[in-house]
Amino acid sequence: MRAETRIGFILLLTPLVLWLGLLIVIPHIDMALISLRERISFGVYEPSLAQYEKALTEPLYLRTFGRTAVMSVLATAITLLVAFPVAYYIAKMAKGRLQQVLFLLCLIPFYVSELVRTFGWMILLRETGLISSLMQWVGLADQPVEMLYNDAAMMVGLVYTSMLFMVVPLVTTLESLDDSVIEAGYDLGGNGWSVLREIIIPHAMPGVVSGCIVVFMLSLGNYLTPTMLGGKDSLWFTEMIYNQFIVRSNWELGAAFGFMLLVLSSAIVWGMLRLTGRTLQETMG
Amino acid sequence: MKRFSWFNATALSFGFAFLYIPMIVLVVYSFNESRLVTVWAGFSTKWYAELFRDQAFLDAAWVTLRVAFFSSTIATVLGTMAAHAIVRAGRFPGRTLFSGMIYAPLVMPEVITGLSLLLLFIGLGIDRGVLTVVLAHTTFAMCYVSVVVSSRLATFDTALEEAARDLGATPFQAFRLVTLPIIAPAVISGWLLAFTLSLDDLVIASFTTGPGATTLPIKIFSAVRLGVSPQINALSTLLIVAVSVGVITASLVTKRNAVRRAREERAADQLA
Repeated sequence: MRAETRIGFILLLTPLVLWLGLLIVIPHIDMALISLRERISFGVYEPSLAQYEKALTEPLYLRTFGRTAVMSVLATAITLLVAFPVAYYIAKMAKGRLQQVLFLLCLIPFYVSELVRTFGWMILLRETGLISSLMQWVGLADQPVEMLYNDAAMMVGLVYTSMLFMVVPLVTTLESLDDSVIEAGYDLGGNGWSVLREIIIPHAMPGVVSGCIVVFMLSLGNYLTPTMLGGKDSLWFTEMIYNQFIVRSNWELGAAFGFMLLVLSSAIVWGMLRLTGRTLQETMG
Repeated sequence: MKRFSWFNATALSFGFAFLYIPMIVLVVYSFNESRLVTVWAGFSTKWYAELFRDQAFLDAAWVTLRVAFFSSTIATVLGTMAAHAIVRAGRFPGRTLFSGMIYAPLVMPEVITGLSLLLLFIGLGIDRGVLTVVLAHTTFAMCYVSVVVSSRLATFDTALEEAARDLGATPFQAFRLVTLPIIAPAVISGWLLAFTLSLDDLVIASFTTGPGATTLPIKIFSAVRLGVSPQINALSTLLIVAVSVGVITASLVTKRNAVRRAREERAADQLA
């Protein structure tokens, strides 16, 4: 690098490093430190692992942690199943203008606030809502049915929120698959199923992986959907963090939970990237 | 792929119905005279009138717009700088750490970003309010901006910048006069993305806000938790319409630019 370029580069980097250091690195270190202390009395703290001990021995905390992880995996799998045909149609069946319109139709719901979309689901699913009264009208039910505040409603909400993040990477990878390869598969005697399994899915794998990582992370870290659509016993790990912080003002335990979530999510992303030999930058771009 | 199957068509319609029914329901019922979802009592715009008379909502909307404008603008400047550093600088000590810091908030749960910033603001003794929400939103939005801009920069022909430098431009002049006009569409879409993310955000804002700085999502969230409120239907409809108009316009503009660029490139080829 020329001296002048180097000075320019340092000028470019300094404010960024300061900003990121102050607002990303320091707060996380701070969070880690807070999680590693125990309140002895007012204003007096002592370093200890008590928070983690509490988090890992209390059955409620541990169950919520495990449940959130399992439900997020399930949400990711369902999202993949729902999004794949849509992505396939957009990438391979639709042509020209129709393709653009369909893609745009997928984008719009993503830009509309998550809050608004979740509220739409509440109107559909609640006891006095549309589906309940429709079922009574048709005769499927003889009294109002409450479909809100349970795991199924929450799952619908999670899949809905994440769908776009699965569709976009899938469309991108499927578009690069040459149609003649699929034709060749059929000509060589393959049926729809074997062509899908042996040609289309292997080709779409990078898209599947990045879609799954993003959707899993979004589900794991989601706060809004579990709070609004989930029931009393479908407590989400993020809700627990929020409660410790805002409702109970137990920062130490809240910070420990936060750190556990951070470690779990980083470990899973790292593992999946390792497994597929991709970098984070490629996956997110 | 010419093989058309009913399975695919059904799956597609199911997928789109799934995406759109909740929003259509909101729009339709925002014009319902009755407070109840199950009763259609005739067309009415009274919930809109009521919404615009509600000072708390108007205040929240004003806070939200200010936060979104300032945070997305700062995030665009910082995000573009970060993208430039990552794409252009090649290898430098700490590059992996630096890009890790840039991309971390993309995959980190919002709750963690929110609470770590809350701890920071409390630790520094900063009063929470509009300023803290702007700082928080800028931090998480700049990552998205830098992703959008760096994907454009990666396909950018550096020879143009080098030519400007050889002709005596300073690095900053070369950036302002050559690079920026070319990457402008990506910078603008980065700004739009940052703006929308800030408008939408509930979690980070609830952690970092203070009294007097209630944003619209926080207001909607508490209203929804209290029960049915047709005003929220009206507000949601307005948001849906605004966003749809924005997204469609943006895509038309991008498409027109692409067509124009293709025509110009053809013309340039003919001259050569």
